Amino acid sequence: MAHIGYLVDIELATLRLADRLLIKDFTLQIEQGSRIGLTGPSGCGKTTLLRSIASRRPTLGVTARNFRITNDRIGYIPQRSGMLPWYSVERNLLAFAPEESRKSEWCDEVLDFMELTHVRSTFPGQLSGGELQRSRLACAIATQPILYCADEPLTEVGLQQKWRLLERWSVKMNECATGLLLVSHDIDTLLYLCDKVVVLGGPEPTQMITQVHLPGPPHPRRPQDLNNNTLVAARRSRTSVLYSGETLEYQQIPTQADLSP
Amino acid sequence: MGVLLGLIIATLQTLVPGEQGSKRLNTWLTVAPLDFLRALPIIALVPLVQMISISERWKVALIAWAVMFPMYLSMRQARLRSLVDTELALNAAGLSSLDIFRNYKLPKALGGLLKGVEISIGIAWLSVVAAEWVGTFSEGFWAGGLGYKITKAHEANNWSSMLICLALFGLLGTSTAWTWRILFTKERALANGFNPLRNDEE
Repeated sequence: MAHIGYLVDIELATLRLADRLLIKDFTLQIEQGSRIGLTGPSGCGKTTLLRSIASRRPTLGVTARNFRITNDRIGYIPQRSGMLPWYSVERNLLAFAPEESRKSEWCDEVLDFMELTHVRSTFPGQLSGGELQRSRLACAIATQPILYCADEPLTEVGLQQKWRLLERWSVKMNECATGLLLVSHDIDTLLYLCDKVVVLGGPEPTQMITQVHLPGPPHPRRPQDLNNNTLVAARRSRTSVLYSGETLEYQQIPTQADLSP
Repeated sequence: MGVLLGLIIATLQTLVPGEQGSKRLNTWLTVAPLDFLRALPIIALVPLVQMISISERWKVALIAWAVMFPMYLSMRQARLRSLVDTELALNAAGLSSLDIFRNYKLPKALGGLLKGVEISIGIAWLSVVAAEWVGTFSEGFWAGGLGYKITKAHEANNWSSMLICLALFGLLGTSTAWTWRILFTKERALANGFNPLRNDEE
């Protein structure tokens, strides 16, 4: 039951956490296949917003003028936990998979995809931090969602593996035209995966918010782009710009020639 | 017998729907009366039972009554506890309520069941002693249970009999607790496909 129009179409009046007003007058729209990043300082309401969206209704402390979320499957990847502790990784995947693909072949495919075949029959409590994060992402992939809501995915995974998996995941999202709402502090991940990054909590805490438009699709961005000095430089300046509250639009990645004196 | 009865009653009680704080009516209908009954000390009920009857059936009922509440409490606790993110992820994934019950709610409750039985076994032995203060019909050396014998030993100032009874209680308690633990070790639970004894925190 594909949803026509937006996967997420919300207009928040306020978002409060323990009586602190964190977000005011905030709109967010995610189309099918588009990828939005969400970042900002700790405690600025990112996770609360993500949880609201994943649960398809305004959670405690959120008042919304408009709150429409797709009825289709959402792959929610929480910051911690989020798996069934009494099941092995394999059974977790089977439990999360939609009914028609609850087969060991699908399970094998996802395990292989996330490089988790060695922990197939291990329980979540016995996994290392990185393995656990990969298993969580694997559960979301097994769901075959129309939208991923990811909260700091793969932050504890070793660097090389992390980029390998992110690239693979990005390709998969392209193939399935999956939307993404990514909450992260990791600018690299945001730059790599997202079309647009929304920064919450600028100099004025209750105000939005910067929006940074990145050079859009096609995804995935080439790994060499990320290793390129120019992008690293751009990333550095962007990181500071992100938190200084300016609005920026990047049409293209600056070339080496642009930067050389 | 008492443990079994308590288990059945407690399980039935946890099936009473909607006792979260938000539903006031159900709170008053189910939780408040149960809390009231739970507050009655088992020892305080002994004279009451004594006034009704001193048959074995009533003693069993008394034990079942005592065992019922730890079962009820741990089941209720297990049911009301929620793994917030897991629940959210399952709901977001659009799983049917049957799937969520089978994969999430049931295993969560089973953890409470095992813990409840473990506590109940201890409470059962305590209430055996209390129940046997009621007295017994029969006479002679084999008359009455261990609790009755302790009372008799006290009356006769019989040290050796008293100590033997206490030691027997210790042995019985240990063996029942161990039997339960051996039946439901981690490995056994793992072999059955789930592990309710596992700590849910990662």
